[in-house]
Amino acid sequence: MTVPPVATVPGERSRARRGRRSDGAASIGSSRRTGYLFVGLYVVLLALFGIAPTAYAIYLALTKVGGGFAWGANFTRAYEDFRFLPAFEHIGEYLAIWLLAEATFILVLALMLHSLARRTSAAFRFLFYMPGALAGAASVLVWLFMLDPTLSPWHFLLSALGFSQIDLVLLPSHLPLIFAIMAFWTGAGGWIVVMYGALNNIPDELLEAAKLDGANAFQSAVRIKLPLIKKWVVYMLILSFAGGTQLFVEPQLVGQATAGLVSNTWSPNQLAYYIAFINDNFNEAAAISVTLLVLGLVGATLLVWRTKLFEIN
Amino acid sequence: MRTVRSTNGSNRWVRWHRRALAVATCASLASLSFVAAGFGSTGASASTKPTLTIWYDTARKPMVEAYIKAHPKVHVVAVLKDGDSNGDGTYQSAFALYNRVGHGWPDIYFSEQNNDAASLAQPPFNDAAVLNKGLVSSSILNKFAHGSAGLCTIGGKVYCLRNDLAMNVLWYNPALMAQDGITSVPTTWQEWAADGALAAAKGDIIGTQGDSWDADTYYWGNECPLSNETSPGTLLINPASTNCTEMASLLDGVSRTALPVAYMFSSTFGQQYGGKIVFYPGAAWMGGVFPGLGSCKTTNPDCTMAAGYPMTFGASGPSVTGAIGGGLWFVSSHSKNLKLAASAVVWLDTNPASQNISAGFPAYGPDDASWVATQSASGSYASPLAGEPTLAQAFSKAANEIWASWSAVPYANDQIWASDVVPSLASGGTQAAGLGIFGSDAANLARSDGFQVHT
Repeated sequence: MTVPPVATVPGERSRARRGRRSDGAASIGSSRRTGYLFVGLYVVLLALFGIAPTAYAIYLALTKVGGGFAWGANFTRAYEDFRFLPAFEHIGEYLAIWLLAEATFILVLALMLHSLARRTSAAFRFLFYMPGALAGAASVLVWLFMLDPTLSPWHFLLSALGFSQIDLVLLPSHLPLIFAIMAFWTGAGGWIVVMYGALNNIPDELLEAAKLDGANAFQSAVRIKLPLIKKWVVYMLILSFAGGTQLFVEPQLVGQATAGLVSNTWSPNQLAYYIAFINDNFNEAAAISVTLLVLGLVGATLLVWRTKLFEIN
Repeated sequence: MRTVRSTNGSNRWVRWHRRALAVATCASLASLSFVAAGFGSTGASASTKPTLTIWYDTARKPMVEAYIKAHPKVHVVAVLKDGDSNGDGTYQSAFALYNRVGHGWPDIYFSEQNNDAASLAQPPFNDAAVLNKGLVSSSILNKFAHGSAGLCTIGGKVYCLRNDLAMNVLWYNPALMAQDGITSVPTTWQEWAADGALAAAKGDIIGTQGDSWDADTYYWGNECPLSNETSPGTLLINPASTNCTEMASLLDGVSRTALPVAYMFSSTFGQQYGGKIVFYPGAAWMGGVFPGLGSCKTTNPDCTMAAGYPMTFGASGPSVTGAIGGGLWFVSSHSKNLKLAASAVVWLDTNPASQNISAGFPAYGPDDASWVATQSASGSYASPLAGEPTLAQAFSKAANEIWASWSAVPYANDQIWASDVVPSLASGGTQAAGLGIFGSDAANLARSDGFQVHT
């Protein structure tokens, strides 16, 4: 059976919508102008806050502090910094835990929600989405309380695990897991709602047909639903990967709130910040930022290419 | 009555509506700008006053308020900052940006980070103004405690004024000593460590370890070379030195009950240890902290402590001590009112109206007596045991014993200790192991900052 794709990218949907319109050329023209207006606004913002800073970062990374072309000197100096590799190791461990958790728990929860009655499902979606309201600094504050065995409402659990004080909770080997939990806690709810929306796009007839063919709930989830929302999963992983490599707020704030228990160069973005603002070397910092950009682009390109994300059926 | 609007009419109405909306928006923005401009104005009288922008931390608030009160003809813009503490780099971040855009610097600023002169006076920041070349007279500079300008002086130029000395003394609680069966105030680190067993038996502590100040307290206090600039650009970092290893062995020999891994300003320290501190080798400013610690009064009716002389390592060990913090006042070289800024710093740092309400022992000698008198009258300190020094005697001796070879460096030693050594100590590691970690990480940072490191 050939399964029609239901997970559509925004451009695809608007195109389909445009195709359905049949109320004359004026209406199409007006709709097109509105489209251009929205896209135009986005393009302006993208140029101002996306492309221009990127171009500036590339310019800085390729020039010397006092001016003049530096070739790869800033990159070499950044890569030779004794904090560079550990920072990428930290972020690698963090991403491995976080992305794995996203790809499994979010999907499982979204599939479970989709199988619930609509009203129950809405309540759960709201519940999952709530932590998302406490993004960034606010979530760090919440977690500082949660992780301090002497203040946490979960102190009995922390004590049972052998953590009597926050120094023991924030040991270097625990940090990737802790930051992954924070990120999952704040970000998962939003993605569950997105995945739930994608699952709702699957035609009921298709699921009924699968049921008639003898598919149980698990088979229906794995063989029908998951392949149909694959593109959304990839989209989530691309954004999470790009965001995850730029981790900054959580380690920075936890470090400051605990008088330095987390190094101020724990993540590559923190290292770039340190080099830019403590060493006042924006050029070397830009080299690290450009490296992060390239890493994000390579990761995204691989995923897009392997999963044919932008292919329109 | 119009019930059906023609297409043209409708378009005209929509266009009119849009124009009205645009005009209304512009008018709103214009009026908002007008109102904002009105709030931003300081009025005719204020605009004729010279303006000083002062960055201060929470503890310096009363001092800045006193300055404002005493100087009604100066328009002060007081900005609360974090004091650049714990190596956060708040000031460095700000100056890096201000240097790029060419404006934004304060006129004077207070720093809790005692290595800030080494950072802010030199490239790439170049912000701190030289004070001993015309801005502050030598007659004033000469009255500061001997050696107090060490952290502020680079190549003979003084870039800051010490607010307080923050030298370490041995704080002791006479009431708890009696309860624990400790009969005399220790004079050597060995006696102090031995008293740890008596204190631990009663659930009391003789200090803490595993916070960012270990190096400042124990290693600086025993001439351990972890941060010694032997010549410009050359740094001695030798954790294998006997002065370092003997102190590490001594600390590792004290039980963790008596010398726990804890941080005085953590949210739970007061609850856990308030009223249980028999001894505390720590800075002069800590004396006022102990009585206010969490459960202090409920566990010990007399939580106040007295100051003893700094301890020596063995009876013949060097009579030296370290320092924790000790604030610094800076004048920005970018100030448009350099003379006024310098005079403000001098007032804040020397005038009794300011120093008497300062938390730490004044670095400016003439203020010491009145500060000690004010502190003694505050009820925050215990009366010394018979034969032990008074607050003034203990502070005065300690102030002159700060080991001057411990150099300020552009990176923050306490940050390295906190992020790299404390986790090791917290998970059961030894001070000896921590020294190795610190030595290696500090050497790496020093090299990345352009130092030649030798051991």
